[in-house]
Amino acid sequence: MVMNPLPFGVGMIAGGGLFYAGFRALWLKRLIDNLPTSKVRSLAMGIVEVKGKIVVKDSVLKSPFTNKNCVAYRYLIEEYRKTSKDTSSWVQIDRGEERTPFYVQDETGKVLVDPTGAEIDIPIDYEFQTGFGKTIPSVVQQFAQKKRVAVGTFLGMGRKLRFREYFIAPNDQLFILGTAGDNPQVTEGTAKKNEDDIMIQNGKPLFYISDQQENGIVNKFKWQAVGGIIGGSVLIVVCLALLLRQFGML
Amino acid sequence: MVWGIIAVVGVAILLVAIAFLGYFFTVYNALVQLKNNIQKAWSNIDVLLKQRADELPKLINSVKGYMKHEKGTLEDLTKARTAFLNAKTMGEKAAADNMMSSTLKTLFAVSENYPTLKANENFIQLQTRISGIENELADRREFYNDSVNTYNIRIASIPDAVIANMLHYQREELFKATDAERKDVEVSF
Repeated sequence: MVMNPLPFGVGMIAGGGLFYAGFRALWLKRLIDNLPTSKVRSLAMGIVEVKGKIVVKDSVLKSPFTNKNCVAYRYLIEEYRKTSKDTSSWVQIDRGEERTPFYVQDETGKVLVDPTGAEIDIPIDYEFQTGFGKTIPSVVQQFAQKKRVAVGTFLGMGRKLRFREYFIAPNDQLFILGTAGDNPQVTEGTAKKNEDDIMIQNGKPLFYISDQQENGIVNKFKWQAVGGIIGGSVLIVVCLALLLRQFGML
Repeated sequence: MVWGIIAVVGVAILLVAIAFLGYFFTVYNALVQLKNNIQKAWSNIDVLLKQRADELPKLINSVKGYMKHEKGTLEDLTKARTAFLNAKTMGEKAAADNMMSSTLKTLFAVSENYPTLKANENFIQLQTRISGIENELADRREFYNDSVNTYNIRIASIPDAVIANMLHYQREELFKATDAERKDVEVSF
């Protein structure tokens, strides 16, 4: 039976991506493992790791689907569609995010964080899937209309849509790995409050924010590394073998 | 057919080699990063030690008029500062820091015996500033010790120990508090 060789080629590329992602996870695990947590009071310039509670700076954002106070949110609207002759899957039709500066506070003080450019690793806070007999919450419906996404109307019939929301709310406990530097919005020595003088911001090698415990993050990266390196290698070899077989070389 | 098998086996071997090399470089770079973390942590302590040493002459000037009976404490403070300014190595600086911290603790404790000094605004400001630096120093010493501890564990663990041995990395010393620092200051009223 002659099969389309394209999926095997794609599989090899995906394997390569998985292999690379595995090494990145290994590097991240080592980076977090090796860097001790700093106290906010004695924060030094450069790459830092801090843990603490979120305190609102000036204003809060409203999460799009639940209308909750937050300092950062991300949303995703997906539709269940036929992607090929035999398969259907969730396809993204709209996404967006918004972030605002906030303070992170530990037992020694608080420091300003500008989350712009950060890799925010948080679980889903809200999910709604349309379906027969389900009424779309009004906040979700209004947001979908604003984004010009047509939703099913009568008894939930129509398009099969999924709405997902992730957000970081005030008082959430965060783990932050970023670069402590001067606050670019404030001229040196003119900060009204000490906590506005230094800011954790985007910088090399990484800006990472998570609401998980450090042990959980390290474990996650460990298994991502193992899975990525081994899984990626196996996928490349298997897809290569199948590809060669397809061309009668194996 | 044979060429196909050779290609698959070749790619598998190549991937294992890349994985092995990648792991080696990750461990190597992590060890270099750990070593640099210790140096950086020490530099961050050094910056605060210098700041504190710069504040000391002002503090001595502000208290010497009041604390005529504490000449010994003030002399110890001057000696500790001189020892810090003359210190060249990390160990010498750490020793001078321990001396300075315990003398400052004594000075601030005995200042309770001098109500006019306690009411002096200049002294209050200096005490607040130096106490702030002391707190930051305590945090940064802790950070330094965390960095050294992680490094010492890594260079003794497998597989890192093999690469650490190649790099001739040795154990680093922790920043320890002296017995004098651990002792509570006794004040007689």
